[in-house]
Amino acid sequence: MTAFAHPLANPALVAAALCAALSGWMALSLAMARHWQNQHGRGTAPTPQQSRNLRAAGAAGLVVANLLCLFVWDGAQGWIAWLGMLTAMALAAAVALCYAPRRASVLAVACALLAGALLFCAAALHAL
Amino acid sequence: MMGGLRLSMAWLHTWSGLLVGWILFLVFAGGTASYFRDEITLWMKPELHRAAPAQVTQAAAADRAQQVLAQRAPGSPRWYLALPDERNPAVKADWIPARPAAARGEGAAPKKRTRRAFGSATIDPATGADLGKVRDTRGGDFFFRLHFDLHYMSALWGRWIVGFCSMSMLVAILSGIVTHKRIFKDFFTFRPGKGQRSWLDAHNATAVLALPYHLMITYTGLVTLMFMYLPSGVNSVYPERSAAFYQDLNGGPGDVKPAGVAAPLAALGPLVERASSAWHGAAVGRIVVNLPGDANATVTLTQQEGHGLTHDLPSVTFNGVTGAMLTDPGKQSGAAVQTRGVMYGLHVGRFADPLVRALFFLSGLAGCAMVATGVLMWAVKERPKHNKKHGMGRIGFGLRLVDGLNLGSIAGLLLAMPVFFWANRLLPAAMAQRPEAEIAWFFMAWAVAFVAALAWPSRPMWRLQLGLGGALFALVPVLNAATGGAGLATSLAEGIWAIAGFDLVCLGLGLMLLYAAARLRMAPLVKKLPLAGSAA
Repeated sequence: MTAFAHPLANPALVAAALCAALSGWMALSLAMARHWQNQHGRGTAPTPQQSRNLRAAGAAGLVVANLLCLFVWDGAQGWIAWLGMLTAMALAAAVALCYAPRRASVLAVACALLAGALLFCAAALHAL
Repeated sequence: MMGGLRLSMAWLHTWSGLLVGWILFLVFAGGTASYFRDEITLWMKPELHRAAPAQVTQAAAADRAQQVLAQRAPGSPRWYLALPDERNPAVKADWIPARPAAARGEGAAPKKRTRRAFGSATIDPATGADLGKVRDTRGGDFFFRLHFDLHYMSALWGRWIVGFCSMSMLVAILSGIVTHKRIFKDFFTFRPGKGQRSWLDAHNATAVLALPYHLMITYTGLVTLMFMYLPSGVNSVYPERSAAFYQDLNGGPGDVKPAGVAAPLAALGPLVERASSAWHGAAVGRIVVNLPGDANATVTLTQQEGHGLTHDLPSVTFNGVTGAMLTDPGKQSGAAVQTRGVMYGLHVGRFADPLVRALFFLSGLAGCAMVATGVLMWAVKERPKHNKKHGMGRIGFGLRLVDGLNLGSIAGLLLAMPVFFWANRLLPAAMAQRPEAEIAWFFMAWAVAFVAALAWPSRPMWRLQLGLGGALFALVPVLNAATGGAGLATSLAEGIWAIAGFDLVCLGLGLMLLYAAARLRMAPLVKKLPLAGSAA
């Protein structure tokens, strides 16, 4: 269970996984016509390249969350924690897209940055 | 072809979901609460909030419990002990009481063993004091049993009813996946304030986004009771004696006859230490002592949960007099038993740490919302047809009945649950039959709400019941602080997280219900004619 020895390192990793999952879902949503239009205005659409990039970034966010879960929890429990996080964060993404549709990309980027910062903190705590 | 399949699946989804939806909401709500069974029980014993028993070793706790039970349960044929763990600081002891002298030795002795026939005690592992009698309550066990045994009927009937509803649920989930045309297109979509469209969005989001959980919990729920629902396999191998089957399955003490010769029970502490060292230090969780004080006594120790998903935990049996090890502590179960163990373990989620437990709880709430939005949507879709047929604002009997059942089973239950917590604090602490009185309050509140719901299935009634339930839930932290529990200020300051978490979750649920009640007042009765022809 204890992946990192420092008592605050694991919570930081778990928080990073949650942020990465939310960021991933937000990026995936922006690759969809409806949510892109909600942010960028009616009639606009992502270019095929933008769509591909958003999908790749979104998938990467979910994969990062998965790797962090498998690192923090042993095997099977890691997969369960990951699926639980995906559900929780997808519900959060749906709420965010409903009530702040214009801030979707801001939220995606902010969550990705936060995930990175938390990862850095966890690694620094571990190295201390 | 596909349209035909979709349409027939839509029909199947509607009826397999609606007809059992009202019971399913109870099962989902009770099951979701059961993730915090231990915490609910602790909250309902406010005398224990601040009294964290001193930490002692498992062996010392077992020795102490043995001393207490030797006095409390003389002549009992079997003891069940649950040793302290992270969520439960006390020893929980249950025992089968000694049979009365008149019935002993007669073949026609009454076989009826109800829950109430068991003796039980909550023992301080350090001092041996009985912590349970400070305030007798079923606690979180009530919701746990309610979600598969129901109440006011035999557990057998309850389990058959719940099993039928769960099977229907599985059908509804699978047909729902087929009939939902836009799983990915509408993945994140929620559009509030649009009548039927909003209900469908909410139903889809709570169903699709938590789909792994819904499938898992419904299927594994059926697996937990599979020997009852599908008994033929077991019956063909164990034609007469299902007790022998459970002994082989669980490795329990089995059906050993008493020797009738008294012999002192071996000290439990050293047995706990030997089992733990055989498991490379893994803690002992449960102990079953069969025929304590008899020459044929056995002691079976089971490993503590939390080391893996499975509910099928390693166990070892000792001779209860000599202390000789009778079974191999490292014995591996067969593949089928291990598979069932993991499914059972997934369902009850006792392996989960606090965060994973919270995620399970959230998915459980999504399940409640899915069921509630599902049954409500049927009424929302049906209403325009009735308006057309009977004139604006008038509805037929079927819809009126569904309206009443929806209101009574959803808002009524959400009103009865906090009433249970309030009854726990407002009834005199020392009254007789206290657990039964708390449960009676729960069902009385629900019955009144249900009758009112069936009599006046209207929007003001929804507002009234949701508002009352919300207020009772939201005031739980106040109630807790005012009636001797560790209030939020104390529990947060002293890090009593189980109690603080309970108060905060109740507060959150209460605010959500109050918000729902307030929304019902703001929204006009018919905002817009609902969209027609969308599949549910």
